Amino acid sequence: MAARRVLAVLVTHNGKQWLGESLGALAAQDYPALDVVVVDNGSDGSAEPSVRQLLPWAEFVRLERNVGFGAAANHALEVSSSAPGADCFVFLHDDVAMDPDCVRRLVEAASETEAGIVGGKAVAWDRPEVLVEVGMAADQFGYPFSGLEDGEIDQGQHDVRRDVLFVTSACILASRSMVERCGSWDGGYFAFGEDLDLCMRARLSGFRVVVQPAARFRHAVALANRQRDAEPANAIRFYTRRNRPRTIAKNAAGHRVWAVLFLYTVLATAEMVMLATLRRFDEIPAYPKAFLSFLASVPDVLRRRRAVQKRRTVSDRRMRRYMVRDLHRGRVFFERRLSEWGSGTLELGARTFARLSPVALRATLRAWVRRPATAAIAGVALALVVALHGVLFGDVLGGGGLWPYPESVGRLLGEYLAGWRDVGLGTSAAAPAAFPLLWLAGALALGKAWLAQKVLVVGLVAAGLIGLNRSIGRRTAFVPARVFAVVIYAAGPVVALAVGTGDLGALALYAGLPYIVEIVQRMLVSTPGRDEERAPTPLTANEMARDGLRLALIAAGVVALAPSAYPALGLLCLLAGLHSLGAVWHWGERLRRMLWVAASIGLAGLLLVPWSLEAARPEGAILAPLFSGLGGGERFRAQWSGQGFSSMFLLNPGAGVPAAVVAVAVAAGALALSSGARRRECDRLVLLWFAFALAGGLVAKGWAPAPSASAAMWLTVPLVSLAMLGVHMAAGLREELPRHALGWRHGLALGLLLAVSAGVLAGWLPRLGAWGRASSTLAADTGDAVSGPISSFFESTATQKGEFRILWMGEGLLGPVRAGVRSSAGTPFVVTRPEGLTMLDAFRSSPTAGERRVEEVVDALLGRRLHLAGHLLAPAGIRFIVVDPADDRMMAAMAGQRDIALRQQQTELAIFETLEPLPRAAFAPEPLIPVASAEAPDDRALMQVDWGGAAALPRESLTGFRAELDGRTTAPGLILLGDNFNSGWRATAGGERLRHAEAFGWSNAFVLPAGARGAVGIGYARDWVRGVWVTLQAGMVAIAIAMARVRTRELEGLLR
Amino acid sequence: MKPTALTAAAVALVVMACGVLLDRLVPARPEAGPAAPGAGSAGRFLSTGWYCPVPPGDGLSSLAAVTNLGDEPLRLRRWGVAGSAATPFQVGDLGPKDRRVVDVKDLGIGEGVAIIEAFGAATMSDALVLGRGTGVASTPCSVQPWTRWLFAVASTARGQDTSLLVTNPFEEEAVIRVRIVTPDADAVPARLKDLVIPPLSQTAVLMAEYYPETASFGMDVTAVRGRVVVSRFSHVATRDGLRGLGLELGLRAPAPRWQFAGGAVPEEGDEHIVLVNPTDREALVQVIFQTEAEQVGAPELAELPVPAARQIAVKVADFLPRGTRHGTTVASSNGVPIVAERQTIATVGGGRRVESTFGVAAPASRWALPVGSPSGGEDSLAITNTGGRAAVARVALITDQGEARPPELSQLSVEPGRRVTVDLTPFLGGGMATALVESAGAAVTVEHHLVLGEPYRDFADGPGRPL
Repeated sequence: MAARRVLAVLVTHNGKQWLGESLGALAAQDYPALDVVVVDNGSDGSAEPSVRQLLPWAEFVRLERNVGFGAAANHALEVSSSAPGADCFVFLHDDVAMDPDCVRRLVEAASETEAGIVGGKAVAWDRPEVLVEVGMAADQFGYPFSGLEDGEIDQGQHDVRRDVLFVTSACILASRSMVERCGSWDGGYFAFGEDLDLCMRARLSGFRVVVQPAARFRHAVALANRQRDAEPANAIRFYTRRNRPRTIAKNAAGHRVWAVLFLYTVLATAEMVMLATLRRFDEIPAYPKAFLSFLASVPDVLRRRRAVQKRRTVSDRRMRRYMVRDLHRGRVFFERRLSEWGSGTLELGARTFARLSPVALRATLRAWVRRPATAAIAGVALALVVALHGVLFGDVLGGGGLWPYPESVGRLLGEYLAGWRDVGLGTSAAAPAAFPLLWLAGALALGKAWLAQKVLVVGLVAAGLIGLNRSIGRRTAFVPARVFAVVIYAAGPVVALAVGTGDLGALALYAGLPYIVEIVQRMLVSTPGRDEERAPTPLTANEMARDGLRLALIAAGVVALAPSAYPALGLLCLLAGLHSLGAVWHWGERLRRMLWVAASIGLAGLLLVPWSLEAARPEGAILAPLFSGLGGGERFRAQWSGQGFSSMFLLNPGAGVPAAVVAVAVAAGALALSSGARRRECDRLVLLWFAFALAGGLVAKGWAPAPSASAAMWLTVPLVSLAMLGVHMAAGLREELPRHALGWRHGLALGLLLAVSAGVLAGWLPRLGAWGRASSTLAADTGDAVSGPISSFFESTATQKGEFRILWMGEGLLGPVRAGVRSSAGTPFVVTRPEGLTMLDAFRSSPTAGERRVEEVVDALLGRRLHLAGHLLAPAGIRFIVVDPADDRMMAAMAGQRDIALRQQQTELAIFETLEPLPRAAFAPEPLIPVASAEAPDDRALMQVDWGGAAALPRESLTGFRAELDGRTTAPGLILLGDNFNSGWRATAGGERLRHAEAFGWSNAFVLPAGARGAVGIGYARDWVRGVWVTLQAGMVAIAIAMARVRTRELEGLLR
Repeated sequence: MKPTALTAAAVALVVMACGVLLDRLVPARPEAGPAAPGAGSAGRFLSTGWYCPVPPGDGLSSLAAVTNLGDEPLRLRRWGVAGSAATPFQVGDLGPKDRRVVDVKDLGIGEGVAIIEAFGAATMSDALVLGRGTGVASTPCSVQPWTRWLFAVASTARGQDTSLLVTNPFEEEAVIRVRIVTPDADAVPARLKDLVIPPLSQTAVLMAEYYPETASFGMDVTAVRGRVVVSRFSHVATRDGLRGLGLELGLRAPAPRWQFAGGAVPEEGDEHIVLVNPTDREALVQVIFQTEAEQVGAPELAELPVPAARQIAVKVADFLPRGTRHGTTVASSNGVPIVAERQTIATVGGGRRVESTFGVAAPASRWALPVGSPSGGEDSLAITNTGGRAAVARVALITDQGEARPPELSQLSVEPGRRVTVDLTPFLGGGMATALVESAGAAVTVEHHLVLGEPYRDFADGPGRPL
């Protein structure tokens, strides 16, 4: 049989570096029936002489401009005189040099396998023993996958002829039948990806795509390796990102194409984020440019898609066997990082990985053991274990800001992501940014609430001490000074107060403040160290940006857990900024630095969107609770009004004279024994201390707005100042005194040291054992109590009688609790779901209309101005009222209610039940309708309603109420939903959407039309805006973390 | 170390020391404390429910009155619990500073409890029982059911019938326990250990059936389940001619101090201050009398021991001349809470009549109390000042015709440790009214004394209700 006629099409573009060898290799082919056409694709004119010299029998076609590989090859097929008679076409790049038998082996493979496309084995141009490609696969987004290791040596390990998804266009044989059926190259690609498209089209039309490793060629991969000078730097990124969606859009099946394109867009966005973190901003425009270019080509793509899909004989499912199923780029990236980690050759991995490598860990451990500070740190750690024994070995904590976790830890994240918060009486206000953090802690503890809480408490304390140690490490290497400062910070009043009451906000501030103070000082002035007298070097914009981002991230983390710390941080920065006016910088530099700090604090708020956006609302979630005296503010005031100033100035709440002695001696010692930059920092620290002490005292006395902060939070800034002053005092002792002859200074120093030592020993250390949990208040034990029989009682009632809420009231019950608690007539109260007090109820936003309504009722109840409280609480779905039995006033008020009965009374709580409860979701009978539908509620009418006439809807998840009308409700009627009015609620009956109206001035009513039948359902329409905000927030946080922490090179591997 | 460093350190020390000074110099900013219980607390008045006992007995006429103390009109809902069922609601309105009297028969109740619910303003409600030839009794209505009720005086001697009217206004069963405290004993009769009070009912517990023929004892009623309203109804008709009708709402808790604004040592008869100590500690009690001329104490009454779980009686005539009108202060000097009640046997219209009344726990500057009767009679108001400063009191009367402020009653001076008696009869016009007493300068206590002639021939005392 006569040999099949082959036309080789070689496309060249400014490739004279390789063209000679390429043409020579063509000339040396042992295949007899070979015609050649060389296309000069807009080169500078150097190609033609080479062709005339080395392949004088070849056709030569010249294009005036570069139209891309595919279009050039297509042009050659159109104009070549040999093309009509060819049985096969071999397309070649100009940086390819084939072995002499390459074409023959390709043709043989095509004949034997009846493949439509055959490719060969590509090896490196300069190192032929190194494999480049032996057939290719791709993932569903079109990312190519060679299956080869970098620099893999060719040992014949891949020399098996097999079917593959595609072969490189560098050297590819296509049969005439395939070209005629599926068409030739898609000229729209220009470069990159056209080979995958051609091969996929061939496969979809039923042709095989085979790689024949025996057909070997050398390939320089010049374009991808940027060896062609004329190519712009961003061209590769642009073409690859544009062409991949084109391939997907043309070839993917109809049911997959949109999903894959969407995911591809998400991935491209992620790549842009990573580029931004690497500060490779010049590469980002290629993405939107590619996207726009793709959009412009959509009509052409659709036309071609129709043709492809018309010829399709193979399903995507069958195609998938030739594709990689996962996002292999990520996998390969991490495999490489792990490999490098293990071998110690890590170059691009994170520094953290490097520190954690076995080698580094061993070295670190050895160094630690030899350090003199190790014993001191171990001592501090041991003292902390003793001090926190109540936390470490106790039960689940409650009270303060650390309420029990909900039954499912995932609900924290669910609440955060949802547009509706199923908390209190329901609210559409954004969930606090603390929820993802708390969820993360819970998730890391595998959902074990007790473990998560201990990790949180102990972790935050440890983080604060580590932060302080790092901070003072920059100030002195004098180990006793560092130990002294850490002891002050650990044994000070903040930990004792905050741990005892589970004050998560104070602990968060405690953990973050050393970092914040350090960064703010570095940004505004300089950090005094051993080279303190040297003029500080101004920070570059890059360094300032990185510090600013770190400051914003830490501040955001603190504020997420302690919202009332936000103005405190602002005040701290303001004071430090004012003090920096005396720094050595010129005015422009001072202003620049202050602006950086201000922007960073502002960015912290921005990172907390959408929650921080609540501040813009009239009754914002941030400002209102901070300054309306809610939460801990009132209790802080009540508890500390008698000793506000002295406690704040002397840091001695409850510790008496010894603690005051420590504070006074350290402050005086630091100021008296330091000089130069140390002294300037001491001035700053004393300023911060005194300013916060003064502000705290004014709040405690009631002369300043009472943010929902605790005493522990107010004391944190003075305490961190005291600890840092302690460093300077100790460093001063070491550095200052030796410069002077023995005299009164030494006596003063000795006296101060003795005073400090006596104070620490007499005042603070004895308190170590008394730390841990607060005294056994009910609030601290609520988690246990509710998780016990009472919880079962509530749960079973909810199951039997429909969803309801619980009103908790009383100082003894909620006394230590601050977050989420409202106050009426001086009595704290909170409304929760049947499961009781959980973290979901903490971090509440400003009072909603429904909560204000409950507040009025509670106020009237406690003021004995109401005897039918149950009727007024009914629309809120409140069935049980739990109060502190020790509060006689409250018990008397409850006993005066005709529609509330005592159900259980225990030592620590009394449970009352409303006698005519209205379930949270209920069908309202006709007598109730006029009252329910009245937008402005009339208390007198409400109190005379027979709530018992309302039928409960079955208890399901809030957004999944389902019920059958089954004739018990005669239309017209109402469905009452005891949640704050929100237009997001929807209800249907028999498939018809019900009209939504406001009931009782705050709640929801759905009007059942006459004759309504069938299933009734209630649901909440997901708030897509919320999703956008959360995505934006996640993106901002990710970028901020990456820009603040990640080195430039670390993500490059992903973007290659 | 430079002098500036030492100066800075010294300044810092001074500032820190100033913390203590600042705490002394800067006062805590005053802020509105928690709303005090009662009608005087801040905020909108939403509703009140009054439980007025209606005693059993032929020939008795029971009236329930309600007074709107606010400046807004209010909505009334009246109903009753009789037997074991509630009667239908009667709805009505009541204007500001207005008063309405209802004959409980109109609510469909022969005996039981009349419930008056008022929506929208502060109110006060009281009950008056009239029996031709039997007597008169008045009592404030209860504003709330409770788990404990105390009485210092009761008797099951021949001719003296004492009943406990126990009302359960809820739809759930209540169980009570009655403890008897006598001068010599403390006991819970077996049949009074767990007495079931059915839902929505009033049960009359005739004490003679459970603790017969005892001249004097106190009662401590505890609801071991549910909440109840307990009144004491006494009907006296002895062979020696003693007569009387009494209806008193119990006290909800003992207290270390009780004050009686009224009282008079009768020319013929007796007056006793009866004390019951329901606790398990002995109480040391001081009794002081405030007459219209002076404050009188006696060495025997300086530390009068009241043993734990015992009842004692102090005969006032032993310390004050007969005919003296006085107020009385009973204070437990060791803080042990007690129950005090004043029992008076006096001659009215030629017959001997008996009456018991409670005191109040503390003086106040605003009081409301029912005065007068639909059958006329004489009513006087006693105002006693136990404070250290002079008080000036003003009395307003709310009648069916609205509020009246007689000029004669607008400037009543009450010296410290004195009592003032005001005759209200000329201002009542033979009808009923609610007296509002406001004092300036010092807090006072008030009590009225109603005397009815034929056909009732009885008297009734009643303390005011602090607002």
